[in-house]
Amino acid sequence: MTQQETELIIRAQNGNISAFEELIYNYDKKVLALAMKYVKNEDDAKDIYQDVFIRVFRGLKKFQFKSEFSTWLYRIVTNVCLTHKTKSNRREFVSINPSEENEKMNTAIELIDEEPDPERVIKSAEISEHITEALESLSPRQKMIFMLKHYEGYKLKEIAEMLQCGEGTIKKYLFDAVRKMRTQLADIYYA
Amino acid sequence: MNHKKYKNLIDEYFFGEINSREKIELEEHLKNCDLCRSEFNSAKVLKDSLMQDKLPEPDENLLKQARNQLQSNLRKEITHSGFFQKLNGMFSSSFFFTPQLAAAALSVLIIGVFIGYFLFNSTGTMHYSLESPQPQKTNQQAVLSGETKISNIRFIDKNAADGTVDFTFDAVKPMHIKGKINDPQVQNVLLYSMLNEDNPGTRLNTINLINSSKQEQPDSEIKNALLSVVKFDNNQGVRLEAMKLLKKFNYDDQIKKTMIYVLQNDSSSGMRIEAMNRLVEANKTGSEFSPADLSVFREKMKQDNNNYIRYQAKTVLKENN
Repeated sequence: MTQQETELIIRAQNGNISAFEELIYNYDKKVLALAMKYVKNEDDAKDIYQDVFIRVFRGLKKFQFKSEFSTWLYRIVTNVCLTHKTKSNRREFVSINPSEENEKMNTAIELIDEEPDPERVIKSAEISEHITEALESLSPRQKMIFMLKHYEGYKLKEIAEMLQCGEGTIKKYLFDAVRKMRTQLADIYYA
Repeated sequence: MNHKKYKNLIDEYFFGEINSREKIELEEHLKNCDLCRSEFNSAKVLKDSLMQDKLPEPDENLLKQARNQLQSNLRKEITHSGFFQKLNGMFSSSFFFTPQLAAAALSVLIIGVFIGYFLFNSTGTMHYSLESPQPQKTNQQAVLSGETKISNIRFIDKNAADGTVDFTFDAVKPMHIKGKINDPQVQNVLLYSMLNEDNPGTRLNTINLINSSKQEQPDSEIKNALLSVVKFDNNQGVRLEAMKLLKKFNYDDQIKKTMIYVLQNDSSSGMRIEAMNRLVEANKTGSEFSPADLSVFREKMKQDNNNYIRYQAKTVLKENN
């Protein structure tokens, strides 16, 4: 956390709205982008954005600098995203039991040929589209962990802190997600 | 051979979570294991694809909408929390007519009969609270005089058999304040009005009132409120007046950032021109632009739909090269 950010947080904690805005405007674009990727819908993404930053506003006074501000913020983002799915009832049930999700993962992944066809060069936009589709095959928790790792570049340890669970659990979710995505993308990337 | 272990190491490898010892171990294993090498290759294909898939930046309009909505929601939050809530409770009855006030007035009519009975037919103790969690004792005269509104009577001792009663109620009194602009009490009301009043006319009047004061440079809290209004008030007239009032304040980094923000985000060309002029003026008197500021000017030079702004942006870039 930079000195400037610390100062902004303290000023915001003391009720300075300009400082609060300056603080969150360093992150809100990324949060909105993540929400957009997560829900694939502008209205839902805007709802998530509002919910996240109102919660940040309400909870900032309790922030005690024990973690990075971004970790604390993304803990709220993950909570809001996972809850949002439950509320909107548009997605599958969020399992809190890892073994339950693992059962769904038992579909074989060994359908992939060894060498990719070099001629199958897919444009970036198409790739993104395929990956977005593949993301939909993941459970909400797998998807969130995958997105935090892949798009935001967080370490497993940091994601574990955000989701308040063990690093081993996060690792399992992530690797299950990756294998599931490989299966989903197999037909596209392999002849 | 423990292929499962190496499968996990492959994933850790591609997500940058592998340590050097494990990396060497994996590389050694891959030399001799076709199965894991196949796994590695398929993982690599996915990783290569993922490398090309970046999180797309959200549309600028969408971001602007979200920020505006957040600003409005924050105003509501402020209204309903802490100091502002207390302030609201103290002063809203004198300035605004609300459904709560109507309910309170109705309560006064109904409950007044009971109060009269208790006040003049008993010698009991009486409490009242003025938006305070701890009821305070008061005298009957203070409550009965003036325009105090009484509501929310709560009986502590409902049994009047022993000749005494005990109850609390809320008394809301219209307030009148006269004082200097830097008087904390005056300032609190002005800040509240500027940031939270729904009626843009009232917000505008508040800004004009501060502007008309003979004071050279009002308090820094007012400045912070003005910066917020300039950036986020949904009424262009209010934003413009706040912008003009900000000229009373010495130019500093906070004002510069706000001007850059306005130049970059405000939909009104009038606002953007005001911001541009303030920035240019400050630049002439020694304030420097950072590379980030200059990139905003670069963007404005190329994309702004206003000729004057494009021209000024070009001039700034030329002079700051």
